[in-house]
Amino acid sequence: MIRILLVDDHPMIRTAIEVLLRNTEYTIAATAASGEEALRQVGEVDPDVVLLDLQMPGGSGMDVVRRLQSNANAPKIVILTAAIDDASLMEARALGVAGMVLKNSDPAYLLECLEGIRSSGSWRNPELSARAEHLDQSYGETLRPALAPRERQLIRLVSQGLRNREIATKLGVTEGTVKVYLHAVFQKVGVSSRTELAIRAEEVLAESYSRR
Amino acid sequence: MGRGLNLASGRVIALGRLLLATLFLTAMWADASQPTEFPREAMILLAAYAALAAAMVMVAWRSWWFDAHLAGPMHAFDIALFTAVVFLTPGDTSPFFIFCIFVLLAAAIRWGWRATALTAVLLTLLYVLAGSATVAASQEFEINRFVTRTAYLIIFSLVLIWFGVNQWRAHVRVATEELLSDPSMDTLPLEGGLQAAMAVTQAERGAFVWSRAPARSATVLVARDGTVTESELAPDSVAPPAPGTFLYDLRNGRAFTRDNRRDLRAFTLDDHVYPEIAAALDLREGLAVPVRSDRGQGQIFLDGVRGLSTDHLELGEVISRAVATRIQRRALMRAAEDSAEARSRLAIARDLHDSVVQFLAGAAFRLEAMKRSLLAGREIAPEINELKELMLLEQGELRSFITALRSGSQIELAELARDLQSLAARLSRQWDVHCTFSALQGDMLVPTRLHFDAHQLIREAVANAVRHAGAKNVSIRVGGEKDEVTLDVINDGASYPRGARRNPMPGSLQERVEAAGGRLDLSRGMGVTKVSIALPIAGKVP
Repeated sequence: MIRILLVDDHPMIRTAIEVLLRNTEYTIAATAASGEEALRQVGEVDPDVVLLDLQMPGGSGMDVVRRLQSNANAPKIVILTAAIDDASLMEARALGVAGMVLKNSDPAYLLECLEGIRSSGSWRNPELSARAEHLDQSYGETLRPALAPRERQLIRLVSQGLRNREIATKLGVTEGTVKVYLHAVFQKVGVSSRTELAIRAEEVLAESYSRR
Repeated sequence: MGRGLNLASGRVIALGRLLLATLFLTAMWADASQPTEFPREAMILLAAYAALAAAMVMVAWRSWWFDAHLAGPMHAFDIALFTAVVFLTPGDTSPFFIFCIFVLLAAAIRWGWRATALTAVLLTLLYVLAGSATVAASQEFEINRFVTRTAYLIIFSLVLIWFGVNQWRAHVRVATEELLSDPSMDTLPLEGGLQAAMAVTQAERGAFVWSRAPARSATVLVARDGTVTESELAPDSVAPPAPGTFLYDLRNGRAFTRDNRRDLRAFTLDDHVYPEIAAALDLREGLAVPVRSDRGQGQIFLDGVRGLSTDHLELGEVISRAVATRIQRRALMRAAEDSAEARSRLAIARDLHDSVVQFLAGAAFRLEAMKRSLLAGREIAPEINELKELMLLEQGELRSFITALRSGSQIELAELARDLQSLAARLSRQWDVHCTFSALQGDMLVPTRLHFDAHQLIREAVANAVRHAGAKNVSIRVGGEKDEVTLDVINDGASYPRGARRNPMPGSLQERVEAAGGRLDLSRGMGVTKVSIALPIAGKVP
């Protein structure tokens, strides 16, 4: 049996997935309703697959993906989400997420995805694959310097409307360091102001993940 | 009466000069003992001065440009005349000593404290020199009176220097109050600002050329004959506003402004008023007021101002600040309104996502499961019944959500309590838990937003109690205290979250409570866990 950690804050989804996986080769080893709980459960139950929602209270599911993928022995991750933005889509792909399923697509895709991962290691929702390909083509010609993980994090925080002081607290650095980082990011991505960076954050992030 | 006395300072000075010159001439003609020196020449000098004063009255009434330009030379002439008169009449007892007060006052009104101080020093020196000159010629020189008069002159100078520093405060305060009290500037800052400026300056016509930032186009408002028309121009067809307020006379190409030291300075108009725009707006003569804010920059033209004078430059500065403040304030209000609207949209989107979208996604998965069970020959009736039950529950939630949306911005606390009681019954069935409900009666109104939040919070609190704490009994209490609604959810399950090393606040609850501006408290004792939530309300029934 393949053991699954189901991470979704909505009880209806959790119950439905449990019902769907009954009488299959997959079993729900544990459930979690937040990213923090998910990371704890991974350590405790050591699942084969993490079925992960992206929109949860207390932080994005992408934070869980980043944390898990930094570990070489991490379980395979399947993103199960109602919606995913361009930047997250490209980042998830760059981080090596095994599968992505949209909640509004055919429910059979979830089982198909799990089967695909078991047999070949990965599976993509056709709609998301087409989107990622389109983004690759759009940004393929762009020749901008690569962004460091810290710089990507900074761009995300700027896009959330945080001030330098708040960003410094979150990153555990001084306000002066944030200013230096920001200046470097402005030059790299070719924006002239903080507002422009916030507006174009998703495009800049998605584009930075399109390079291989 | 007040309006009749509301003359420009240049006109007041010119009139004062004429009256004093006439009085001196009359006094000297009536008093045979005066002047003591060069009587014929003195009479001619005073007569010439009176004639010049009369001419200056005409100038002051007809042209602010010449009035401002001739102010300096006339002031020098006034000082010279004072010295001559003191010399021609006995310096220590001269009946024309009072003229020095006029000269000082004129400097204080026109230019401020620097010119007043310079005038005071000059007058004192010249008075002492002229007085000393009479010592040699007169045997009856009264040294005590001469010293006393000199002291008067110095004390009076100090008072007028102070006046020169502070003379515009009262005037500016009144004008500011008038402008800021105009309510139309809150909703239509450009049009309201233009009309308020016209009212304060009694201008016949007005125009406001405003370039928004970033400069995509320029808006031009023209107020004439009680109507305001609006049009758009290309941004490069509009001249940048001048650094400060200025007076303009387009027919003669003249303009006056004050520099940083408050001295009057003539400048070229073309840099700040393009001839094509001036012609299109039918500008002739008036006051131009630059307005700058974060939202853009522009210039108000107040044409046909009654009694236009250099005094209006100070008034223009007040108008500039008041209009810029209103534009900025309106922009902030709009931003706050947009932000509130966006928050409401996001809150409704979140509620729909958390309820309808997730439910439908879950239902689709369950239907897929049923299809597979059917193909495998398994019994699916229990699953169909369960899904039907869940759909009925969700329908109830959705109906309650829609009813709250329809009921307006506020509902009564009693109505909220009824809805939450129904919710408690549904949750009891959904989670197979014994759910009791109680509400304190209160005559309060609560915002619809709070209705949604209360529903979601109780759903989450009960779900947490069952899933994480394994509760069998849940008690829900709703109350209203002062300006907030309180929700208590008490369960007999394990400490939340079961198996956790720490005892943090439930994340999703915490987030939703914070978004609603409320407080969340978690306490444990006597074998039960109590989640206490306080949500701020909008108001109470009087």
